[in-house]
Parts: sequence; structure tokens; C-alpha cells
Amino acid sequence: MNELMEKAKEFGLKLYASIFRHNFDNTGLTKSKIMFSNVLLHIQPVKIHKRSIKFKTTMGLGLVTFYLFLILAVTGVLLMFHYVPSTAIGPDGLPDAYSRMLNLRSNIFWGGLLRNMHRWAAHGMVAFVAFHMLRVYLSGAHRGGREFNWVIGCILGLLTVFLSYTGYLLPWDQLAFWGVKVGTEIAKIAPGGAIIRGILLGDTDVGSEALIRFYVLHVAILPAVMAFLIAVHFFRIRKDGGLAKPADTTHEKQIPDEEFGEVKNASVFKSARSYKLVEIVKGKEPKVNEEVDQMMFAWPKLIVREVIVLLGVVAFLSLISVLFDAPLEGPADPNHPTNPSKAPWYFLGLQELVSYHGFIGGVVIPGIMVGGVMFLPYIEIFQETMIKGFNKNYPGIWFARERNLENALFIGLYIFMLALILIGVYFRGENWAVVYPWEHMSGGGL
Amino acid sequence: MLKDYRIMLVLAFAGLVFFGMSLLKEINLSFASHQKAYYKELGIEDFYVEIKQVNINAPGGGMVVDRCQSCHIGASNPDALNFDQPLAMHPPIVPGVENDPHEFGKIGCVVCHDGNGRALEKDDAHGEYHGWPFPLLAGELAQANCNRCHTMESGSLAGAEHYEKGRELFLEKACWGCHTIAGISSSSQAPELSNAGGKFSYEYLVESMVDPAANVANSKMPKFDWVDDAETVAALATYLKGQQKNRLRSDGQAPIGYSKPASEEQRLSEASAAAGRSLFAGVPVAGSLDRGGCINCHSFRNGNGVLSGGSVGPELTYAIRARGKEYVEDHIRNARVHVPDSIMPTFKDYNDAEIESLVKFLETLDYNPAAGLPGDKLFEMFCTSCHGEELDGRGRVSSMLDPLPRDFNRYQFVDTYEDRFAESISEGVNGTAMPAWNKILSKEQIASLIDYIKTQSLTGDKPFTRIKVELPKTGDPERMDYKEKGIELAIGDPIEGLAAFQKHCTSCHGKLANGKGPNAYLLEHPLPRNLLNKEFLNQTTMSDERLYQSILLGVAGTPMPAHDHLKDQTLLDLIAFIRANTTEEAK
Repeated sequence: MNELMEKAKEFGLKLYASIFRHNFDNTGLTKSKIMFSNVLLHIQPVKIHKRSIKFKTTMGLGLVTFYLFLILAVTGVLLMFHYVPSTAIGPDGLPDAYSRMLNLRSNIFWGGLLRNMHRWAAHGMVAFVAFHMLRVYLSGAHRGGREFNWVIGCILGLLTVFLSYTGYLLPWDQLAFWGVKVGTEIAKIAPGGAIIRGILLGDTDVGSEALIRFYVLHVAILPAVMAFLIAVHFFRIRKDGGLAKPADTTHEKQIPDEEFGEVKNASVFKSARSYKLVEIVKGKEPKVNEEVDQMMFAWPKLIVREVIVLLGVVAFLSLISVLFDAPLEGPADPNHPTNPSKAPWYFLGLQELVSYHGFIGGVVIPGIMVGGVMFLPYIEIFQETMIKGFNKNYPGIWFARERNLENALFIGLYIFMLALILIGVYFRGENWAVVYPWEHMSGGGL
Repeated sequence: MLKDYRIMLVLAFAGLVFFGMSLLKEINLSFASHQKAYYKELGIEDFYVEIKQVNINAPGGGMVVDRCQSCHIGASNPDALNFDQPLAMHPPIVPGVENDPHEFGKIGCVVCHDGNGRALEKDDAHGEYHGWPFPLLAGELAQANCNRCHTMESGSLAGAEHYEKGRELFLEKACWGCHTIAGISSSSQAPELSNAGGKFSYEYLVESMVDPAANVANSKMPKFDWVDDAETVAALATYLKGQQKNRLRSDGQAPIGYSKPASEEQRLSEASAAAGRSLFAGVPVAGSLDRGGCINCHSFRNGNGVLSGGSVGPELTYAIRARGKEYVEDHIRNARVHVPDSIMPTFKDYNDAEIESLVKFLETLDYNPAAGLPGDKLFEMFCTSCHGEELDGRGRVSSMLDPLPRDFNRYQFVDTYEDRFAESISEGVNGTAMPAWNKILSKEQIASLIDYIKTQSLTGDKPFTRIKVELPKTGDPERMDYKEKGIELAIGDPIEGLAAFQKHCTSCHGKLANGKGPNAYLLEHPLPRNLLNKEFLNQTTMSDERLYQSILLGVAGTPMPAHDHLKDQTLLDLIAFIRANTTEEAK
């Protein structure tokens, strides 16, 4: 009997070893093994700079954005089981797509929660992209070799907005229809916008064709592009040497040796195919990073912190979704515009600008802003190349004194957009007249 | 590190709690507690809480889901007669019937009461949230939906009194004159209401009747005085709510024999003043199914001079005397033959006998108070309904008239054109609502009227003189030929005139010359002339010279400015263009 138990235990160990190739002891070897023997964890390096886990370095904003993307993917796939992108009128006189929203709310177990989570996560993601971008800029992290990653990040931000916007139409209620209608009308102003609008809508107006196109864009094309670009975004962070840090961190406190544990077995790479540095570089001695004593193992501290952020995001999102229902107005009716017709909130700044002047507000200013922001690091590099003594390259330093002007301008840009959005959401009533927020109850914006 | 694990645990726990909350929200639905209360009150201990769903098959496939009886569980249980809502029994629908033919287990609730049948929470199910197109029709409002299953055209359906009353009112109040409901009327003057109930909520319909501009800002629908009567409005709204294209029966097939009779509609065959009077008043005519209701818009004075009727259209006491029989007949058939911008509906469904009856009735109106009245009294009697007590052209029916009545407070206008007044009053102004008064008023009376207008308008103002110009003739030298090149005027060219019109006139008179240019909306009174108004432009007084003067010097006392910067040739071209649009050959 004992023998059998022993054998069973042995089998169990073999089973474990075939799945996990490490133990959980506190040695540096194990810590590194954990990281690179797990496909999910191996996205991250074995060792990270100790700055990386400090809250102040990133505030977890990019991570929150990424988690929201994952949550959106999961809830989105679940919602796809219940959704039909059709405007055909059902027996109860309602368009199919809208009917499915009612089903989600009343007939499907957890359907309401699913929709709420998807809705609020989508809005949250747009907001967190903006926060993340602000953090990156203010801490100078778009410089120091990460310039192109900033551009990719900007494209990801635009994709996020576009994903959210395409999803906004799918409930096919008044809010969706007129919100999207406003957006597509703005697109008309831009040169060539009418053609793009035509391709997007598949019709001269928002209708059944537009619904199908927006659906396909929303569930297949945009998420695929987005996932790929996220991978590139992350990959480049790794290749750029992790999170941005000041050029010289030698004065920062070093991590005491005892925190690294012992290395019992030198053959870390025993079973894995890998290269030692001497195999791939020429030179007399391997480069030894003077920062090495500030590098710490990613396991378990980084992983735990990432899980904390994940749990926090999930918990907060669940709470919001339990407390607040995603808005659903009456079914889309092209003959009865809502007054005011408001685009989703992230476009309301644009709508506000358009209300002053179509071309300048709808094309010139946003074009300059998007283009300018996207190529900001290159503008800095250009100046540095052309002007002697000009240096704005201070990666990883919050509010670097030398970048005060740039930071002030960037914050100013954010305040400008925020003010416009707040005016659009709260201070615009019927016929786009100025009202106080407590004077009207208007849909739109969310 | 330990702190990190603690935070992790707390967050995980919080997440679980919120997840549990959402679970509770899904499970803890109010219908379960309603059902428990229901069985408890009935004294039943062995019961099973479940969603009670009725599926109603809709014609053309698909079904309507109805779960209302999950809460309203006692709807068809006589034992639950005195229970509190939502558990109580539904009161009988057909009055005086032992066994009500409506089985709620079969037809559900939404068929009659609307709302959102698939929902299980009260607000959601009753459709009491913003934007839901079919909110609950509580109680007797559900009569609107009898129409879904029963054909209602043939008259009374027991238990649908409000609907029936609404139908009566729709005919009596002459709503049908402007609005089409399939099978009842065919007018294109106002939005069709055949699917009013399918498109609009009950509240929307009530609101639109009480204040037409509430939902459609530029509505031309008049505000009627009966809208103060909530009962009338409610009945009409119930009837309109019942007009739905989406029905649960197919044509010609309805439950329990309320189908339309096969007999043809009876129509009037012989004209009589009495029938005309009934038609005018909108009350049923013996032997005819047709209805009128002119009185909802038009008023008239009886033999004693008492005025009665609506103030949407002009008073008709003098209509036959002023306009003649033929004019009135044509006007009822299509008012736009005479006044292109009239809002009067086309009553093309009337047969000859019915129109003749109306004319005969109008012929009986012979009240004439003119004898011996001074100018001010005459004005008050005959003119104020359009021109206003203050002579400002804003009388009580004026807002529905197009062109607007003259504003005599503009002394420039009165001073300039006073010599035309006599003819305008005695002969009327074609193409407008101004009739010819020569059959009713004597020359002296007209003269005293003009005196009154002059004294009223010129009080305290200096006289106004306008220079005199004559229409230049072909071959005359061009007025603007400063360099003396010897340019001579040619015959007006309508093509050149069109170009000049598009350049100088469209902002007010519109690209189509119909008086509805973009700037016309900024003007108040009078509005730009509709230059396609053939009746107006082809009357004898509208000479080329008058057009020339009006363009060159402007129209005194109106927003029409002088155009003395234009060449004479351009003016002649413009006149030719206007003429080309309005003469018969133009078509």
C-alpha cells in the first residue's frame, strides 16, 4: 500500500514537472525559471529595475488600459453570443439589434452585467489611454529610444477611440444612432471625409449597412489590429530596455545581496536553447551593467503587483456595473433626432469645436492636435539635431525642470480638451444652446 | 511583500462580493416575492415560483413574448378579485358578459396594454423609462389597442367607448380634413395618421394636439380651442393611438364578428341647405356617412349677427356674395387654384351633391349690418378678423393666411397706395384672402372705410411722398447710361431676368421665386411676395408699370427695398422673368 502511495506520489511529481518546470523555493534560479518557463510570465523579463514596481513610475495606467482591453475582449465575445447586427423589424415592432439589447437586460442571466461591464470598460479604456499618455509625456518616457513606441501608442489610442465608437452604434437605440450620426457628419467636413464616410457606412446615411460594417470592424478587424499593435508596443518596451529611467541611476540605492537568494546550480540554461553573451558579441570582456545591483527579480513582487491591479480593475468595474446600468434609449428612429444629439463623450470636444466652425474646428485643430501629438518626440529630436545645446531628452524623470515648457503645453492641451468635453457634456442643451447642468436632463455623451 | 499579499486578498474579496451582488441582482427579482404573496393570500402552500410566459404568434412569423403574468399572476383568477396590485384580477372587459372571451393565458397583456412584455422588473416592463416607444396604456387607455385584433370601422365595439368617441371627434372636429387615416380620409395637407399609434406614444399624441409646436417646432397645425377639454383630447388620443399598421389580425379576419359590413358607404345624392348646414357643423347627415366640420376653422354670423366657429380660416358670412358660387365650389375642391399658398385642405372626396349642399348653406347666410355704420364700425365689422383691431394686419385669423393681410400702421404704405384702396376693397385682391366687397358695401361705405384707415394710420406722422416714375418703353434711352453711349432699351428677356433674379432677389423671394427665400424667415410682416402667384400677378391692376415701380423704388412701408442701382434693362428683364413664370404660355 505504501509502495503504491509512493508510486502515486512519484507519478504526481512527474505530472507536475511535465507542466511546471520549477519549484517555489526562494533561490534566484527558481525565480528566473518561474519567469521564463511560463509563456504568460515570459512576456516580462526575469529581472527588472527596481524603479519599475514603484507606483510613482507608471501608476499602473498602461496596465489598467491593457486589462480593460482583456476584459472587453472577454465580455465582448460573450456578448457576441447574444447579438445580431440586423435592423430587420421583429414581430414586436423593434429592430433585431435593439431587441437583443432588451433580451440582454431582461432575459439573459447576467446579460445586464455583461453589457454594463463592456460599456463602462470601453469608456474607461478611452479615459485610461488618455491618462497613460499624459503620464508617459510628463515623465519624459517617450524619449530615450522610445520615440517610435510613442507613435505606436498614439495609433493604439486612436484605435481605442475608433473601437469604442464602432461599438457605440451596435445597441441601435436613439443614443447610438444619433451619436454616430453626429460623428459621421463631422467626418464629412474633412477633405476626402465623404469617401471614407461612404466606405464606413456603405450607404449615404447611417443604416443597416453601417450597422454590419461597424459590427465587423468592432468585433474582428479593429481588435485584431489592436492586439497586434499591443504586442508590438510591449515588445518594444522590452527591447528598449524596460521602462524609461534616467540615464544615470548609479546614485540610487542598491538592492542588498541577500534579497537575491542563492544560486545552487550554475546551469540555468541546462535544458533550454540559449546563447551566452560571449557567443554573440565581439569584445574582450562582457559588458557589465553598472546598474545590476538595482535590478531585482520580477517574481514574485512585480507579478503580485500586476495581479493587484487586475483584481482592482475587476472589482471596481464590477461595482460600477452593479450600481449603474448602461444607458439604453428607445429604438433608433432616423425621423426623430434627439435634441441635442450628442456624440459619445470623447468626441464631444470635437463636436463642441465643430459647433464654432466646421472646417477649422472639425479638421484643422483636431488634425494639428493628433498629428502634432503623434510626432511630438520627433519634433524634439529635430530641434535637438538642428540647434546646438538644445536637449529635451530626460526619460523617466517626472516634471523634469528642463521640460517645463513642454509639460505645461501638454497639460494645457489636456485641460483645453477636458474643458471642451465638459462643456459639451454638461453645458449644452437643446439646439446646442448653453445651459447649466442642473437645468436639463439630456442623454448623449455616454 | 506581505502588504502586497494583503491588498491582493482584500481586492479579491471585494471582487467576489461585487460579483455576488450582481448575482443577487439577477436572482432576486420582484416577481418571486409577488408570487409568494399571492399564494400566501390564497392559502396555497404547495407552489412553485416560475416565470409565466405567454407567446403570442404574430402574423407573418415571429412571436411577441409576454411575461406580465409573472407578477400579475391573479389576472384571470376570480378569487383574486380584491387583491392588491399587481396580484388582483383584471376587471371584466366586455360589459355584461358572463364569461369574458379574452383569455389572458392565451393573449397575454401587452396586446392591449403595451409596455415591454419580456421584462420582469416593473419600470422596465411598464416601459416607464425614457425613449421606450410603447409605454404602458393603463386602464381604459387600452381601448386604443382593441383595433389590433378587432376591425373597428363598422361602429361600436362594446367596451371601447373612448375609442368610439375619439372616432366621432376625429370626424366632427374635421381632423380628417387635413390628416389622412386610411379608409377614412385622403388629404395630403398634414402628416398621415394611419400609423399614428405605431409611431407615437399616447403622451406624444396628447402633447401634439394641445400644443402642435411642442414636438414639431415648425408645425402649421392650428391650436384649437377644444384642447382645453381634457376628455376630448384623451378620446381623440385614444383613437389615434389605435391607428396602427402592425396588427395581430389579417385583413378581413377578426375575432368574434366585428368585421366591416360589405355594404358600400352611403353618400349624399341630393343637395340641400340643411344637409350643407350639417356638413358645415360636422354633425351626421341623415342618409350619409360623410362628415364635414368646416366650422372648426371657419366662422359665420347667423341672421342676428352672432359670430360662431373657429378662427383658423376667414369668416364665411359674406363668402358667396363676395366670391360667387363657382369660386366657393372650386375653393372647397382645391383652394390652391385661387390662393397658391392657402393651407386649406383639399376636399376632393366630396361628391357634387355635398359641395352643392355646402354652397347652398352658405347662400342662406344673408346677414348684412353695413347700412348706416360709420367707417370705424364698418372696419370693426368687416375687416378686423384679418387686418386686426389695431389695423396692424395681425387679426385673429391672420397667422394662417398667406399672403398676410396688409398692415395699415405703416403710414408710408397707406400714403403711397391710398388711391388703390378703393379698387382693392371693391374688387378684392386675386390670389389672396381679400374678397371683393362691392356686393356688400356701397361706394360711400368703402370711401368712409378708406377715410378711417387714413386717419388711423397717419395720426402724428408727416405725409410721405414717393417720386413718380413711368415704365420706360422699348427704345427709350437707358436710365443708367452715364457715359452716354446711347444705349437703348430692348424688350425684356426672361433668361437674362432669371440670371438677374438669382443675383438680386433670391435671398428673400427664394430661388424658386415662391417668396420663401432664406431671409424670408427673418422678416415678420408682410412676407416676401410669392412671385408664382398667377392669380395675383395676372389681375388687371398688376401692370408692368406697377412691377417696375415696386422693384425700382421698393414697396413703401414694407421690407422690399429700392433697387435704383439696377439698370432699366435689368428691371425689364426681371419683369419679363416674372411674367414668364406666371402666364399661361409659360407652362
